[in-house]
Amino acid sequence: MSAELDTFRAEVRAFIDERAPRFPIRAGVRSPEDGEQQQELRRWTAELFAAGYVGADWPVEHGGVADHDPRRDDVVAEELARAYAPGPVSGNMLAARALIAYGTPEQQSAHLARMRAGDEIWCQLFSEPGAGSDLAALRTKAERVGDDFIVNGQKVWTTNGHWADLGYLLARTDADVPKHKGISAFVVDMRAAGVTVRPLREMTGTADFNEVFFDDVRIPATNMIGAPGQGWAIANESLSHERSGVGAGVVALQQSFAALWQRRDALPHLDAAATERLLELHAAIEALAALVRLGSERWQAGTPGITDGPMGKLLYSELNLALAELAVEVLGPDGILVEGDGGAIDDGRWQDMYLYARAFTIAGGTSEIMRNVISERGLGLPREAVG
Amino acid sequence: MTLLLTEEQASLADAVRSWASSGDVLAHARTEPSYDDDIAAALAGAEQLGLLTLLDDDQGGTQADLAVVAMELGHAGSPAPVVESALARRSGLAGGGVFVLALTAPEQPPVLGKPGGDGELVLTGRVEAVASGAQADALLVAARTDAGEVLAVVETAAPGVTRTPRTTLDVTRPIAMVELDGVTVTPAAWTGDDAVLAVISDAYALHVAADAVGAATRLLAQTVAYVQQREQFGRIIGSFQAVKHHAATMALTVEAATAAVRAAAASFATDDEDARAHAVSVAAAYAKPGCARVAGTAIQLHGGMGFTWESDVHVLVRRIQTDHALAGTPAWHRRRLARLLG
Repeated sequence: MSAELDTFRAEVRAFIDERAPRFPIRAGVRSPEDGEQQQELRRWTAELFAAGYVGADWPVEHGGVADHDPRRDDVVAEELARAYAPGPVSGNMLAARALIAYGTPEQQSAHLARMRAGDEIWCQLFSEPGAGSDLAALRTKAERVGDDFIVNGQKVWTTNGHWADLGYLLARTDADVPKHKGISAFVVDMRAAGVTVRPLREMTGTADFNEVFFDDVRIPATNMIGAPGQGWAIANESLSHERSGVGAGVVALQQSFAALWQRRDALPHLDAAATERLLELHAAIEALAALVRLGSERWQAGTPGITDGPMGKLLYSELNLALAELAVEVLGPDGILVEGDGGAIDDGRWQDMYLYARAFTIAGGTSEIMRNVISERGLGLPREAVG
Repeated sequence: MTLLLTEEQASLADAVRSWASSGDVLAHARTEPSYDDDIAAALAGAEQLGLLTLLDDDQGGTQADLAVVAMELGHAGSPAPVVESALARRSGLAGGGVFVLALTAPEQPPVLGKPGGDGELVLTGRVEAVASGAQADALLVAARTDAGEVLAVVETAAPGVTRTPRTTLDVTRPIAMVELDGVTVTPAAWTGDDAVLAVISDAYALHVAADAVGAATRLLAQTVAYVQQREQFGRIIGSFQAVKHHAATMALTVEAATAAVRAAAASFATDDEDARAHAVSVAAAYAKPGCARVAGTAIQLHGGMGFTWESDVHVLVRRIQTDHALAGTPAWHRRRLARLLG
């Protein structure tokens, strides 16, 4: 079985070498910089689906593979990370999960095939300025008027929002029930009248996210995913399929460590004390790799641990930050030079990693929320007031 | 090889837990016993469970199985030198009575071996910390000779052997210094197998790390139980986020350390010596300091109670800190990782 996976890995690696777009090496999930990169991402998304490297876990009638081995998904995610290649557009993967589990046959046939073909790029419209960790407090409102819903409100942290065709929206349809129960999910046309997308420049200096404003945006009622009030359950279901992220992150961390280690003789500021810290991080990164492997084996055995995901995410994001901080430190005086400066080491890759590392400890559940989840669901300690 | 416990390993863990925890082991430890009357009896019990012969060829046991045992012994705070006995037997050499491993710490000068007459070996040197060293009848010692590394069985009654019980941080296990001054070993009692020595040293480092993880696992459970019953300001303290987050960090560290130990244990199934050494040093370099952090937080969350002698917490804290120093400190394992990374 493992030999079969090794063969698969070699095949995926060769495919990525030959076909993946070559974008500058940057940390995390970044937005395309121009129209050309957008077209490349559409082409690449389509090729990954066509090759069966993503979407193989979808139902067979929507292009999935019978008897799909889920370990292959981990292999693909790891190989993409190894090659510093972009993955399929994340909004597509998330929205597809919502449609597969809760969409009508009409919605499924309208979108799933087009997603596979790279003809539809989706973005996720969940977070709001006032609803971050407390996502269920979201206030964007969808009011039923005849056969339509009228949407008003604001979203933020929208990856790919500026070029997405469609959005996977959570909005409040009932303000008179407990907050988790009044949310519904929708498909929204990002080019509809009243949708304004404004790129948000982050501390990295790049604009990888957007703010999205809804002013009386009209959505046909048939665009609701699932039933009214089901939005929270739908969002959780689609997020629960995001498993391979940390595994890919481990590969990226191992590569970053190896890159630093290989050039250690050229790093005069990597003194004995810093070397000890670097080796401590190496051991911790390998322990994280074992943690992820153990969680993955539990998942395959049908006995996933309730805290496996939060533990992996928490340890990954904190080690990534620690390694990035150490990297910038041991570059010494040259550590201040960023992309665009002729003297920048590795085109400023380490400084970008250092700045972007702050996204990982916040996005997708802050480290504090992860610790809440671990202590409450894992250890049985009392829950925070959740309203 | 999988990192999940097999059904057999899960039953083994259960059996060892109920055996090793019978009687109040930690309360006994708090009386600071000499353990002189405990070790042989404890090993007899371990033998009945088949733990000492686990690694014998006809038993089909693995280092991964022994790591499961080591974790339970750490969890129980057991004085029984089960790991040290099973590894001594793994040498293929025979030692009578209580026969335990007595490896020099890798940071310390090795025992030196010189050829005597008729294929005999003459050993001189010191092993600073030997678990059950004062209670043992025979020791498996590693020595450096001009022809390479060797393993030798030393009868503790032999001329030239001096054993000094040490007073250590650890009140759960007796530890002695063993000095060898021209001790003669017969030809049948030593062997020059580098590969076996490498396996035994790596396995010892693995099981010491597993021992610390077992103790840390128990500290986590005790701490979670304590913060769920201790009330201050009219609430159980486990409802305060500062306390919850400490507990979550403990749980994460224990889980990652467990995974690292399991991965290291699995590495013994292959013939790749460098991969095995790397996995073992990762486990030691991560788990030992990690468990020490868990131990420190356990005391902190027990508050004043955790500072008393009557609490079990410090007993396990002491064991974890002792594991930290045995079979290569984390610093030694980091240096080995540096060598292996090239």
